[in-house]
Amino acid sequence: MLLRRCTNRTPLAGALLTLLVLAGCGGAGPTRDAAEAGRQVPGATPITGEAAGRAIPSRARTLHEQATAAMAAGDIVDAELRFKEFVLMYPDYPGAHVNLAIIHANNENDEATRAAVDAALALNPDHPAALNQLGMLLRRNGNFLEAEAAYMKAVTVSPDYALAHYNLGVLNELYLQRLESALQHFETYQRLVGEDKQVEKWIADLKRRIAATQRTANVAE
Amino acid sequence: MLNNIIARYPNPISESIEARARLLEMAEQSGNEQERLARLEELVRVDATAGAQRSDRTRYLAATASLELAEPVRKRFEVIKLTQPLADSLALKKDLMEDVINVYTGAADYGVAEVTTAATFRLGEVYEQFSADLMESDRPTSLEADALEQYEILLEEQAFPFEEKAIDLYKANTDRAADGVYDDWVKKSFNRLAGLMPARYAKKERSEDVVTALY
Repeated sequence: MLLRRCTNRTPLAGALLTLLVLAGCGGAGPTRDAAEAGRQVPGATPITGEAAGRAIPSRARTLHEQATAAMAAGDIVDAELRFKEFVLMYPDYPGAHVNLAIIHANNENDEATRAAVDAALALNPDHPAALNQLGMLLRRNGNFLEAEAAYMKAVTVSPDYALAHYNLGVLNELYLQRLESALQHFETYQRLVGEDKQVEKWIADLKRRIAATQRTANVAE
Repeated sequence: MLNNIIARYPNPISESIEARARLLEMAEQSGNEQERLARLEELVRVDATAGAQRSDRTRYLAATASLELAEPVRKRFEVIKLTQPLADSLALKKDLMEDVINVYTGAADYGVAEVTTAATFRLGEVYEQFSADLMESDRPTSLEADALEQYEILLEEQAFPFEEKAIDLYKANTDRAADGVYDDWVKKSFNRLAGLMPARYAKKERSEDVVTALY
């Protein structure tokens, strides 16, 4: 199917077509290792095991690996095309929908992000990365408490999912003004990922501000 | 036609003010700037003198009108640069700053949420700009290197409190987020704070660059 789609593309997609023929249709795309060596954020990929017992067609695996490799290499236009193609052929893998959500979110397309997140969560309502995307989308739209609920669900089903702790830190500090919760989540993030110099400074700042608030409260009493 | 009706039947204000709002719309559409300003001023005046007939609606119309009326005042302030002789340009800029602070404070005082966040943001901008203008002001040409260095330090000391004030105003806006107010002005205030206080405010959510697992 991919082959047919490739050959049917308009001349407009010329450069892209070449890429597809080389990487997708020709099957000589970047390897999984290349994808994983890509720009991974510390604390990401919490999803454990690919649902034991469910057999993934090798074709699906290959196509998905090629798409994630394109995305990791920063070739976002190509990656989007590949993921869109992928979900048409294999609509039941939430990971592909989450990647589309990430791409749409980077393009600031809220509507498409929401649709991709919903598709992922329909397949797995507990998908941490999908819940994280949902939280970010809700926060951007000012739905802070709903964003909190999404992130909290992510860390409830996957307590080691560092990114959602990080995002809960940001949400609580900047948008909900709950400094103590922010501190707690940044500390959890720090514990999970090891060292993050920037977050270390934020933690120190939060501690200082919380102590100052407490001093003021004591004086008031 | 509408004008005549308003003149003959100014009461009840709840009705005549809608006709005035309609006249404002017409002035906006026709591009008649003088007429538009006159209509805006009228809305502010009618609300201020409405007495017992003052309502949320008259207050809302007056608040949005006062925000519009503040625009030209703000632009007059913005364009003045601090050139030598500094005493003169500074005096002029300070006068204009007082004007612009008055109009935006007046707009914020109506207590209409979206007008208050807009006016607060603009006030923040005014202080931020004044601070920046001071730092970018023309330096006296007569100073030796040592004296110029002293001058720079003094300038910074003068400019700093204005930047602090700008930060306070932007913060007043971002503090409203926790109460569920997250309009464009609050978002802009977050952006400004990220620039002025990056260590605290330049915090962006993080996402995976890519999810490699299929499930």
